[in-house]
Parts: sequence; structure tokens; C-alpha cells
Amino acid sequence: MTYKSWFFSTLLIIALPLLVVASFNYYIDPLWNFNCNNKYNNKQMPFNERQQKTNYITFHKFDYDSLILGSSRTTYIKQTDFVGLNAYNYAVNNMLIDEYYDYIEYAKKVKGSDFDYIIIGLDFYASNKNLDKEFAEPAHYIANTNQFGYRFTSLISRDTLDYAKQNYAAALEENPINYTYNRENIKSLFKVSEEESVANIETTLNTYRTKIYANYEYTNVREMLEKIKNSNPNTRFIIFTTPVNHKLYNLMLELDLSTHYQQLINDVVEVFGEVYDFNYPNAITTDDRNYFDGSHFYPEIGTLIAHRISNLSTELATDFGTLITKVK
Amino acid sequence: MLFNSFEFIFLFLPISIIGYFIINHFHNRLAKFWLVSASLFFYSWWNIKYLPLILVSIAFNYIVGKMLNQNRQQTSRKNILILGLIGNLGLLGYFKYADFFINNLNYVLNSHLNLLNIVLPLAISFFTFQQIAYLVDTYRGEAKEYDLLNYALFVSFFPQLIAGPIVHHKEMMPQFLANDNKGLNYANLATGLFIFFIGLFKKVVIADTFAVWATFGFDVALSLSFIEAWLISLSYTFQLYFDFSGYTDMAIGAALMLNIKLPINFFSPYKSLNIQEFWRRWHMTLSRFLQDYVYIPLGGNRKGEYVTYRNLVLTFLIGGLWHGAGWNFVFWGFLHGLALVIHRFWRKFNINMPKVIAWFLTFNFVNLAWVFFRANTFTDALKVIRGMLGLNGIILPSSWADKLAMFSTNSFAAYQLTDIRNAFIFVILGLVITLACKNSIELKDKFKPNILYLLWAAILALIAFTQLTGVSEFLYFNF
Repeated sequence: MTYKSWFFSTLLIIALPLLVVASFNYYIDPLWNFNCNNKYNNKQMPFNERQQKTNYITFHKFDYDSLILGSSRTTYIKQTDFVGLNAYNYAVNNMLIDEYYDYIEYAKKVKGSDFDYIIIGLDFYASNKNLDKEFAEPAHYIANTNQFGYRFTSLISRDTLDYAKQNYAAALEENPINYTYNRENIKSLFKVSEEESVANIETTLNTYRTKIYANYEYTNVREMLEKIKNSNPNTRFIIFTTPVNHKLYNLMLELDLSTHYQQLINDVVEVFGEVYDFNYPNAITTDDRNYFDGSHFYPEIGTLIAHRISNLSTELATDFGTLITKVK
Repeated sequence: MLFNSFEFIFLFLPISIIGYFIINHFHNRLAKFWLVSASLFFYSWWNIKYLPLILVSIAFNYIVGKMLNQNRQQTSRKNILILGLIGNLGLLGYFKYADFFINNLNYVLNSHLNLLNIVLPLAISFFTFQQIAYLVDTYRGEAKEYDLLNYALFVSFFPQLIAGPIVHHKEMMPQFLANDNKGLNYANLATGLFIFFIGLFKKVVIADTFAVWATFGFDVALSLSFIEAWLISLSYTFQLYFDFSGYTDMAIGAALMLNIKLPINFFSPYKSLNIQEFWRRWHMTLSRFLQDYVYIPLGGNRKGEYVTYRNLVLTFLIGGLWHGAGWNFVFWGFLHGLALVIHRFWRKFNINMPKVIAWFLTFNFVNLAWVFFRANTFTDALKVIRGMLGLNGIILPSSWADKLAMFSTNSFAAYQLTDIRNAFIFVILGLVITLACKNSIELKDKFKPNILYLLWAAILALIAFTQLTGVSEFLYFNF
């Protein structure tokens, strides 16, 4: 073997497997960088919603007139449920209030103009100043996406391959897979039995009691919301509180946190003029069958929220959702 | 631009090499201009605001070098050299040490002078030292350069620009000028590619794996048990070696593809049997610089035993400070200086230590000293040292409790380091690779264009390429 043949053979031997990996990763597209939709990639694991949705916004046609933000609770609301709006659901797992601004600004930058509507699913737990931040700042994900050649370089990544294999296996499963997104940004959450639901709610209560509410301190919500409002003067904001199961709501009362909840509502109303409040004992929140666990309602409840906000009649629960406005 | 980034491997490097040889076929000077332009582009990729600084530095040293060459009067030449040294050290001092100096001044005088918050320009320590060496060599009559393009190429040549090896003018320029080096050489191309892939694998697969444990132990954990502390300190010891020597391998490989042979920078340093040998094997071009331009000018070993000891400590204090503007680096340098003094003193007794003990002492000293090098604060360093000394207790993994039932139940607990089994395996592998295997320079020298090396290179490259996504920084970029 000559040096010349060794050199070119080596490059060829390396290139061939890389080409196979890149093709498979492109076809399954677990990072949502491409527009390749097929029956083998219609189940997408949400391994990092911040990165995936930021990638989607960057590399797809992004001409939505409305943006939805919120935590995992809001991820289960279908973006198509907001009647009359062309909305993109940018809600991600555990999104905190101080992340809203950066994600809105980035989405505006990609869109090239302001949004007509920004819809925010506000969670009471996110008003706790002492929550552990489990995720990097938005700038991290935005920088990743905009790294030179990112969408192509990630095609030969082993991590991408691992996620692609999982998505491919999920698509081949005859039984539907829970928590997955389809290629239209709709996330699934399958019903559990009432017993499982009750057990899940108990687990949630325990987590909130020992961790999330354990070291509660109200953060400066108003300042964060004012910053968003001021940077979007041409946008109408729709804020709603996400409805948790009544047992979790009661835990909030039990731990003497209700004044902070009132403060949250007051701050939102002061800044935006009104808020749709769903988070109180009503026909939906008192029925455990509407909940996967103590804080996550099923997508059909998300539809009710969207319809209530869209002023569509909700025959199922007339006491679900109340519009709180400023006292004039 | 990082060597372990897609843009470097798949775009910059191939385009630079192909462009260089095509242009060189027609016009040598234009090819050198191409290489300088490519190198400055490579340098600016991260942040173009650093570009004027390196250009000014190149221009300043070129002019000073030219003045040295043109001037025959010894006193004037000395003054010119002093001017050059002040210029270089002033630049380095301002950008690298100003805030460190102000901080210490504030501490001593209890004052509140504002910090300058200067961002350290990329590779400033490397290109400054390289040019100081050039000026001193010129003063000594060992280097002459009248051509600005040649000089710019010597300083900015991209394979060695960011993190060395620190090269001498006299070992680089003849290579750029040699007719034999102007055409494509498949032997160099293949060998360069092979060592580049070895370096890439060392950095991306090995060093970055160790980095996770080291980062956790030094920066996250509040206290460390005995086993954890040792795994963490050893993780950093191997991370640093595979990271820096991997970078150097890539630099040597990239340069070799352009028919340029860079000096060796690492030669199995963890095989050393004494601290002097360690410094002959670790960051060899820095050791060479410190010896030639600090230790010997201070008097070296020519002025008696005690002055020699003083010179050793002083040289390594400067070496420590070169690595970073922090007392932890100074202390690390002091430890190494002291170790060299002890080694020199010990040699007077002509007692031959058994090799195993000599290696054990040397390796553990180096490992211990790296703790101060890595820790952000002395408190962090002491946290690791305390753990290594067993002052936080010797706790065994709770998963071993069944197998080691004779120990009390208090000896078992869950570890903070969740991946402890893999950390242990990797540390053993690190020891085996650094102690029992041939180093990359030996592998390069043995390289043959056959199927075995082809498969080897392809496997290393494939594993490394598929792990490139999260591009991390090289440790030595901050120095």
C-alpha cells in the first residue's frame, strides 16, 4: 500500500459510515433541524425541548402570529386549539418566568416582526425565587442552534444517533408512546387509570411539600413581566394560570402560600390588565380523572383552557376559568 | 477556531492545505501569504477583536528584530533588546496580569481600586514567549529575519499559534524555505493525518470524559471522601495530559500535512522516575524556553549550589505565573521548583532509589501539585487534598456493602460521584495507556501505510467525529 492509497482509503473508510449515520439522523431528525416528515419519525422524544423547539424555530418557516410560553403543563395544550390564532407552542419543561423574555426575543428575531399575541401559561411554583435551575440559560440553546453549521454537524453526532434510534423504535411500536411529540409540535399524554392518577398526585404532593414549596420565597414577578410587556408594545398578552389538581392547590393553602398566589395574580393584573385564572377548586380541578399527576392536566383540559380563552363556550365545565381584571 | 471543531476539520484544514499546495506550485511567496492569511482567519474566528493585537505584536517584534540585525553596536543592541522585552512583557502584563496585580494591591493596601476586567486575548502567552525567544536569539546572532511575510508566518502559523509548541525561528523558517517542502508529500500527509486522529481521539474521547469527573469534584462537590478525592485528582491529572498532548498531536499532524515538522512537546511524562525527567517530557518546548531564557540567564548552575537552588525556584515561579494570573499557579510553580531543588540535593548522595518507588513518588507528587493548578481557589484545593488524606473519612460505595460485610455499616455510603465505577475504570485505563503504551510520537515514527494502521486511524476518527457535537475548550487556551 502506498502512502497515497492509504491516505485516500482512510478518508473513504471514514466517510462511508459517517454518511450512513448522517442519512439516518436526517431521516429521523430528532433535533428538529430539518423538514423531513415520515412515518418513521412521527414520534419524537422530547429529550431537550428548549433545544428542539429553538432548532425548529430557527430552521423552519416561522410565520406564526402568536407565541405560547409556559412550563410542561402548557406543552400539553395544542397550539391549534387557540381558535383564530396561528400559534407556535414554545412552552418547555420547567420554563421559569425569567426565561420568557429571551425566548420571546429570539422568536421575534427569527420571525422578523412582533407577535400579535403572546399567550403565557403562568405557574405558581415558578414564582419561587429559590427553585433550582435545572437548565441552562436560553442564550446557551440559542447559541448552540446558531453555531456554525450546527444542523449539519449534529447529523454525525452519536448523541443524535441515539435519539434517532429511540424515535425510530417508538415509531415502529404498535402501541402509542407517551410524552412524544408529533412533527406538528403536538405532545401526547396518555390517560392513566384513576388509581394510578391518585398515586401520581400523592407523589406530586410529596415533591412539592419537600422540595418545590419547601423553601418558598416570592420572586420579583412584576419586574420580569414588565420587561416583557415593555419590549412588546404592539403585542396583546393573554395570561392564564395553569390549573393544578385541587389537592395541590390545597397544599398551597396549607403551607400558607396563598398570599403569594394573590400577589402573583395582582402583579399580572397590574402589568397586563387581566388574567384568566383556572387555578382554584372547580369542576375540572376537583376531578382527579382530569389529571395525570398533581400538576399535569390532560390535553383535552388544555383544549378547554384554549377554548375558554378563545371565548368559545365550554359545555363541560361552566365554572372553569374566570377572567380577573383591574378594579376600575 | 478549535482543532476539535467541525469547521476546522472539515473546512478550514482541507481548504488551507489544498490551497497552500496549489498556490505553492505556482508562486511560493503567494503561498506563504495564503498561509498567513489562513492563520489570521483561524485566529480571528473566535473573536476578531483580538486580531489587531496580534498584528501589532508581530509588527513590533519584526521592527525590533530588524533593528537588532541592522545595529552593530553592542550597547545599542542591548538597549533595543531591553525595549523589545519591555514591549512584550508590558503587553502580556497588561492583558494577563493587570487585574491580578490590582487585586493584590487592594488586598495589601486595603484599597478599592477598580479592576480593569480585561478579557485575556487568545494565545497571548504563547505568541509573546515565542517572540521574546526570537528577539533574544536575534540578539545572540542565532536568528535573522528581514522579511515581514516570513516573520508573520513564523509567529502566526496556525497549527502552533494557539497553544504551541513554542517554536524557535531557526527550527521553523528553514522548513518553510526548503524546496523539498513546497509540494504535496503523501508520506507526510498520511502520517500527519494519522497523528491528527490520535490527538483528536485523546482530546474528544479520553480527556473530555475525565473532564466530567474533574469538574464535578473541583467545582461542584462540597466535600470529598477518600476514594472520590483520589479519583477526582487522578481524573484531572489524566484529563490535562490527554487534553494538552492531544492538542499537540493535532498541531503536529496538521503541520506535518503542510510538510512542517513541529518539535515534540510531550514524551510520556507520567513514566518519569524523577521530577527533572518529568520536565524533560512534559510541555518540553516550555521547559526549553524557561531553561534557555530564564534559568540560564539567571546564572543556571554556574554560581554555586544555593544560587542554583534559588534559580530553580525562581524559574518555576515564573513558569507557574505564566500559566495563569493566580496564586494557585504560583504555588504550583513553587512546589515544582522545590521538588527540583530536593531532587538535585538528593542526587548528591548517589543513592539509587528502586524504580517503582521513584516512579510512585514522582507521579504522586505531580498528581498532588496538579490539584493546586486546577482548583479555582485554595479552599477548593484543600477540599480535594483533605479528601485525599482521608480527613473526611474513608467511605466505601454502598453497593459493596454485601461483599465486604466484615466492615462496619458506617463505612458504606452513597457516593456524590454517581459514575464512580466508570471513573475507576477510566483511571486504570489512563494509567495503562500512559505507562504501558507507546506515546503518539513513537506511534508516528513507527507508522506504516498498511491496513492495520488504516483500520486503527479510521476507528479512532469515527469514534471522535461522532462525539464532536458538544465542542469543549482546550485547557491550555487560557494560558
